[in-house]
Amino acid sequence: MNTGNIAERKNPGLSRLGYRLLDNAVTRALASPLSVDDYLSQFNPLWSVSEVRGRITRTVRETADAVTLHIRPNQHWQGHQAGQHLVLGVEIGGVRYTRCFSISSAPATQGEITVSVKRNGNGLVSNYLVDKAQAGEILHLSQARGDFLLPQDEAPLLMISGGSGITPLMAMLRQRAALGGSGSVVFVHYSNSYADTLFYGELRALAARCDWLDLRLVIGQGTPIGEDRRGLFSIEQLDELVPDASARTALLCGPPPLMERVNEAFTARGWARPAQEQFQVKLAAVAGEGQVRFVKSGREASGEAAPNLLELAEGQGLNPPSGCRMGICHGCKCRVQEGQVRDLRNGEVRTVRDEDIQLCVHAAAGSVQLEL
Amino acid sequence: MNAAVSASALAQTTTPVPRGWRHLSAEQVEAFGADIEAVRREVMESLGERDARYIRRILKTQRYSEIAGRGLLFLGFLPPAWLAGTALLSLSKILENMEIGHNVMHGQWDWLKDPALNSATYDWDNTCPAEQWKHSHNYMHHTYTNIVGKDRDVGYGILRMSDDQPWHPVYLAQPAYNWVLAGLFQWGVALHDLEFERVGKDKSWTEVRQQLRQIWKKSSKQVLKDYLLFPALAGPGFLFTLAGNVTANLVRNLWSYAVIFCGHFTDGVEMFSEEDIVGETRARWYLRQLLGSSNLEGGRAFHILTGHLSHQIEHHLFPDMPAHRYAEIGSKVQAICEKYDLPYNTGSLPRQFGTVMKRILRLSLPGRRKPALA
Repeated sequence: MNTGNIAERKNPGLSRLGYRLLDNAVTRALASPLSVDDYLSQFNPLWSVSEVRGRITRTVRETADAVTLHIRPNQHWQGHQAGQHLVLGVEIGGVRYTRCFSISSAPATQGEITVSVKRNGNGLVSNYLVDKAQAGEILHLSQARGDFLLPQDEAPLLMISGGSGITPLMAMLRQRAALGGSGSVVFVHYSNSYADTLFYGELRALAARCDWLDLRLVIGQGTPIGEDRRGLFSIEQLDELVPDASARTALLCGPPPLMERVNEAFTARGWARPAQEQFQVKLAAVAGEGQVRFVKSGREASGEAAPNLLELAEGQGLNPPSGCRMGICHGCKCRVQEGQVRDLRNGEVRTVRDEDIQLCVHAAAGSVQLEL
Repeated sequence: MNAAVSASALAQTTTPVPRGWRHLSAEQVEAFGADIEAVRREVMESLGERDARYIRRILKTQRYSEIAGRGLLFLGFLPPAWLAGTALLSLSKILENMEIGHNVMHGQWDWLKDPALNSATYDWDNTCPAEQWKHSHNYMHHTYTNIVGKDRDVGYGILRMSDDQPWHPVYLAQPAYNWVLAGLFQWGVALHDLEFERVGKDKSWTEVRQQLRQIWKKSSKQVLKDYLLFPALAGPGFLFTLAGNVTANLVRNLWSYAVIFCGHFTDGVEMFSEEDIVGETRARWYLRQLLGSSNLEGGRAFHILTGHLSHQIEHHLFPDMPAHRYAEIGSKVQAICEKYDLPYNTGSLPRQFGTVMKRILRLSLPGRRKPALA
């Protein structure tokens, strides 16, 4: 706990060497049974021997319903590749909430990353980040993850995005703009209106500046300008906007209805399915069944009482650790002693025994014994 | 059981202070339970930022006092530094065990979703492994509170604290060895879940060996840290730091012993038998928790230092409610008790502790504690 000699170093944190000195068998024994972090964090919430944390340096309003958070992560951040996402934890009313967001900045942007958030209905976290998040706030971060990446070759690309699904593609576009490259890119983006379009000004400026980029905005309301269009995605419209679509490598990210429509159209044409990132997981709307027994707390509940095991546990007053609630972060993993569960992502029912499952994307499909 | 019924019935006719609950009809008991439940709901629905700020302030206070205390002990050759360092370390150990550890492990802060305050992962600075504590305390003691033969907190298997425990000559010495338990309290707590009186009967030696290994692993970390590593870091001040750390652990032991013994062994607290809980409803469980617990009066700092176990009644009614809320609902619970003519056992620490000492003395001798009522 001797932090005096490294205290003069300011944010974002201590040097890697400093952390290594603070995290060894002796310091751990001195802090035991607490962790070294339990002490370090009291001096500066960004200090940690291993966790990635970041501070919001500024917030930029993109549209009435969207904001970009500029985040300076501490020394543990290992960088990201364009198209990846991270799990972000934020405290709202003292309670930590965890959600997944795409990183919208290109890699290696002066020690900062950006995350662009669009209001998601009445969603507590997105509304908080859009309306209330301020510079100075501390966020808990994961390392970047995901394999939705810019293809390595120089093949021509077709990027299709909708709404806030633009964020990972924007990171790719920014990277292409920063590093150059010869392959051409057609970028088709769907949004409600121009005013609702994230990064509108930057997209127009990029399109004007870069001859490898063709920008096609498709809006739901208002009068389209120039090559832009109005309406929903259709294969006919795509044929018209991008005549050589079949010759391009497609990348797709957007709300589930758009992604479904694009995937169906591509399949119907016999084209390769686009590389894609799904952000709103579409889960089977099958009610749970059977009886769930929470072994440690001695509670029991009918599987029908909630759409998934996580909410079922919470309905019983239990508070298992949890995170993204969409099957991404594995924060809610819990041991099933025995039981039948349905994976809500594909509707599959399986029998598990002594296995860790993600509670948020599983429902009971028979009797289940959970170690909670 | 019949003896107990007539005892409390008699008590009712001879004293204006309400004792027991047998004047209540089954419906009244359920109504009492509903009133208590309403208090719980109101608080649990209002949990938020204020509570989060509170526990984080306590965490900060505890960590800073520990660091300052251990730092000062490096200057332990100066008597004022030794005294201040030992006092701060004692304070930090008390805060960590009582207001943080005990309460976090009850799940009071799980709703914050903060991994550092989660009951599943938190481990306290005590020789008792968290896993065993959650079994012997959260489950056995809080479920079977004051049921002789079931709740091992009734005398911890070595003291005779209830008339219903059969007397044995060993208990003649309990007024003395009780103080040994007080001084080594965390070690008593550490060995508690071994349930050594069951060993060789319905508990296997293998299970005991496993638990002992766990206890060894956990307690050796505290021993290493407090009695070897920090003293060694002090170099020539080894003995000063060692003495400070031993003292801090002792102070915490004595304090937690006093607070905890005042929770269930004061005068007027009721003991129960296993028949009492057959078909027990939630409302009757509430009733048993109320009758089996007693409070301590004091200021805000006092309550914090007891981990709010000074509100033992409220804690036993609502073990998973953030403890700093107990003080706020105490008057509501007391008003409900008045409404149903139920006792609400409270008093100052010296008064309540005095009655505990009296009980330990009296029950070291054979016979029942209140022969007049039997």
